[in-house]
This record gives sequence, C-alpha cells and structure tokens, in this order.
Amino acid sequence: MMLIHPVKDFLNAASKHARAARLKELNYLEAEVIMAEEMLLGLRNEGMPSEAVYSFENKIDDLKKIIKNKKSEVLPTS
Amino acid sequence: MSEDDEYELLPRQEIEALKKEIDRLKKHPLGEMEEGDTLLEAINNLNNSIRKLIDIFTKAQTDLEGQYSEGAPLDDLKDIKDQNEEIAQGILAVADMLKENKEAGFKENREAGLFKTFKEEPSPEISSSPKIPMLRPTGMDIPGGPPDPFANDLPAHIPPPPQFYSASGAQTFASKGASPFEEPMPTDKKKRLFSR
Repeated sequence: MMLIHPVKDFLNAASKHARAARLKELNYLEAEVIMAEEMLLGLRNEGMPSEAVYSFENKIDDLKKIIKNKKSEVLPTS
Repeated sequence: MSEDDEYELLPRQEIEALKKEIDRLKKHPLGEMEEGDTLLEAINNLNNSIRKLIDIFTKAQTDLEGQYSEGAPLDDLKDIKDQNEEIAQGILAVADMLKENKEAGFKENREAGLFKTFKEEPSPEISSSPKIPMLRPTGMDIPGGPPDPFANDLPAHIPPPPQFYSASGAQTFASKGASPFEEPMPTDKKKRLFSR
C-alpha cells in the first residue's frame, strides 16, 4: 500500500511542471533557430557574402548544440 | 496646516528647475545611468521568474488535489490505522510468548539444577563404552616376592569400584574351563516394551 506524502507529491508535481515549462521554452528557442537558418539561406540566395554566411552558420550550429545539451539535461535520464 | 508655518519667497528660475527635475525623475525613476537600466531589467526578469514559479505551483496544486480526490486519502488513513493496530497486537502476542518461554526455561533450569546433585554418577547402562574394572590382581601375589608398592595407596574413604562379574559367574567360567573373555551368547530374549 502506498503511503501519503503530500509535500513529496507536491514537489514531484512542481518539478514535473517546471520541466515541462523549460522544455517548452527550449522548443520555442529551437524553432527560432530553425527560422533564423531558413532566413540565412534566403540571404545567401540573395547574394550575401560567403564569409558572413559562414559566421552565421557557425553561430547557428553552436546554438543548436547548446539547445540540445539543455534538452538532455531537462529530460529524465531513465 | 498649522498657522505657525513659515513661508519663503523663491526666485522663479529655481522653481522652474525644480519642476524640470521632478518631470525627469518621473520619466526615469531609476536614473539615466546604465545601472538603472540593468536594475530595471533584472527586476523585470525576477518578476517574470516569480510569475512562472507561481504558475508552476498552482499547476502542481491542482494536480495534487485531483490526485488526492481520486485516491480518497481518508480511506487510506483508515487502512493505515487498522494495519498499525494489527501490527501492535502481533508484537504484544510475540512479547507474551517470549515471556512465557523464558519463564518455562528458567523453571526447567532450576529443576535440572536440583536433580543434578542426585545424578552425579552416570549409570553404566547409559555409557556406551565398556568399563574395565579397576581391580588389582591380589590373587596373583607371590609369597616372598617384592612387595606391591601400590597396595596401600588407595585412601580409605574411596569406595571400591563396582564389580561387574559376580562370583557365581566367575565360578561358572572356572567350572566350564572357558576363558573369562569369551562371553556366552545370551539365551534369554530381552524384554521389550511391545513384545508379546
């Protein structure tokens, strides 16, 4: 039979919701990064210098890596 | 206002400057410096974070209320109370049993201690190994020979050892001419508890 621990249950529920909110924010940021990547492709087609395009691509890749790491931290390991 | 207040006449330019200062402070309450902007930004971030935290806590509360309303915590508490009562009764029963066993063991030990004084000598029937009689060969003494150095070493208060061979048995061995070590086979059957 399960015993009742109100504080523990409350903290568990709060952590679950906090994780969900954090994941939502990260998904939003990921979507923003994808939109920026598409805009960069449009700028390249318009004739943007390749050096600027490469620098922006590197920044976008870094942002993607950071978001991926944050997501792995937020998601449960098991 | 009290009638004793003092009034002071100020020049018009000073009043205008004070009015401008008030307007500027109303527009920028934290000042026009960079720290003021960062402070305002930090306060706004803190406000947003607290709002998110409150939102999370309200969601957790609603979740918990729903979970507890489904699970009926009063029934659970009653079950826990019944289980605790049963466990306590079991513990009491075990304690009583242990107490009784302890008392019985103590009585047995006391009785065994009393009987021990009467049962110091083990009976020959219980002992498994055959006992050799500690008889001295008095009949083998040769007259005129060396005196027996152990003839008088036994004290007077030690009783003589038990004799397992009766005189009649010895006589029968002697009359038949057989060796005393060859025991005759028992002819009589032993009486058993369930023999007919």
